[in-house]
Amino acid sequence: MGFIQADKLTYTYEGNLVPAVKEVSLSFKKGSYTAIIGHNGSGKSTLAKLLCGIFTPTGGKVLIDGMDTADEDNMASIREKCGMVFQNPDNQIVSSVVEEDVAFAPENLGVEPAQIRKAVDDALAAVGMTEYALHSTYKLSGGQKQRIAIAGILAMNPQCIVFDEATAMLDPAGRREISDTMRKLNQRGITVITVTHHMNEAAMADRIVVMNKGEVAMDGTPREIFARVDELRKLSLAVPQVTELLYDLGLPAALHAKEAADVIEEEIKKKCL
Amino acid sequence: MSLKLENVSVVYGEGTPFRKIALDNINIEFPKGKITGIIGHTGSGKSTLAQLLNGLNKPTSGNIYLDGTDIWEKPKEISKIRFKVGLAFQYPEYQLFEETVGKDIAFGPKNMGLDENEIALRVAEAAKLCGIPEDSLNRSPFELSGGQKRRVAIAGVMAMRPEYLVLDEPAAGLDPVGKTDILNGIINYKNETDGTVVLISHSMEDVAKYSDMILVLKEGKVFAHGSVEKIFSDIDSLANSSLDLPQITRLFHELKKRGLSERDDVYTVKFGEKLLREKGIFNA
Repeated sequence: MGFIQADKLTYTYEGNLVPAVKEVSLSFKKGSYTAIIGHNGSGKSTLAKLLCGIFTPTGGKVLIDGMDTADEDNMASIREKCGMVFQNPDNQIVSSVVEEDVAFAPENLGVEPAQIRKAVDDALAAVGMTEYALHSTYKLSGGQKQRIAIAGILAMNPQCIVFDEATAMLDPAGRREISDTMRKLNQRGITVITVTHHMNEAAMADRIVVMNKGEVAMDGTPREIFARVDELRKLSLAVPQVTELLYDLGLPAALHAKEAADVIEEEIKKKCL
Repeated sequence: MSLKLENVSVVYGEGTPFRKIALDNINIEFPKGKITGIIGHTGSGKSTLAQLLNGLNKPTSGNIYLDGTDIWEKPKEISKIRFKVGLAFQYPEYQLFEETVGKDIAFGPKNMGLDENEIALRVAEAAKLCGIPEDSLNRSPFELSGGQKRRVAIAGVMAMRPEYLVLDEPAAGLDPVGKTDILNGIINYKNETDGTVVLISHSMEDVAKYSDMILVLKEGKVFAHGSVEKIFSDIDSLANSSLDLPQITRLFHELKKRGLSERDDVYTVKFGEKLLREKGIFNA
């Protein structure tokens, strides 16, 4: 039984006939790191919102740590267990001072002031924003704003964070900041699910789920998924450049430049001997 | 004929503690009929530069010449410059406001004082270049997906048929297909109108793939400028600029270090593949 368990999950937007997510069954283990990819309209964002209980399914069900997201009595505990980071950094900041923004959730949960102080300090340290605690939020870069949004969730001590294209509006440096943060949080035992268009980011996860037309088209490790270049191309998805090169040369898959260089070196040695 | 910046500097917050030099003595020319890609970190001055090109922002010092004429020579006529130099902002889809897609695209040409027939023609032409289906023209822009909205917003600028098209991060945040559609639309525009394009992007991969020339900005200064081949011929300097090199470039950089490739000025997968195949080791 996974930490998040989706069973024949279906979601149809009001006024639509075709479901955005159709009978998806998936299980996410505690402490796992999964990337969900798919082209626009594949249902990946809808799936993400269902998995953390922001949307309630129109068919099937989602259990988060055994709690049904459709049961309103579970709502408060689900929100504490599972947080979500959205695409636009500017839409997620509620206060003008960084540490006040991070304290927003625990304050609303009625946590003791001394405990809030500790939670906020810990959260800011975890995302590497301690020195910005007293800065004003509006002057931060996009990547910094997203890290504050993540800290705001961390202050609730969640067990799972779902990122919905959280790096789409960031520059390469900001994207790296957020990917590094995701990896760090995952190493602390937090379950991470990230929806992304960036294949290099997806390659950092332990598992990739590929969505197409509301259904799961592929599910496996990055190495397994990126070895299926033809299928990905058919789904209008790109693969990392070096993966494409090795595939076209008929060599084993690699995800990073160094790793690809190893594969090519190996091949040259083999052929020259 | 070109768009040219001479000794251009922009200083924000002059006389306050927040004084910041956004652009520092820039000298550059965007040659006619070419696509120039501009890359640089956040804060390197890319967007500030874009806003100078159509007179939306005024340089603190220096001059901007459009086909030889200083664009600020007659400040009251600056709107004429804006019809010649079209600027699409970052996330232009947030600027859609009309009831229908067609009306939104027609907004620019209408403001140019063109007659109905000409406007209709321009709207149809721009929609086609951007791959917007005809039956979408009567729909509300707010019913469209993000990628489609982006195309409508860019079509709105193209409909003015500017000789110079400046786009600030036109493909940011789109999926691979949405990105290819937008960038191909821009190439179509350039080919059909023989226009000049300035393409601002964070993505070295996109810039390398779609541009003729590259301008690298760093901390408000020109770090490098030249043809794509020239820029990529000095990989070490590019790597030092702390920009994200295309993954394929990093691979060949590594192969060269290991003595497995003579060249490292590789920026497309196709070219890299060709180089490796020439070794005669890899099967067709």
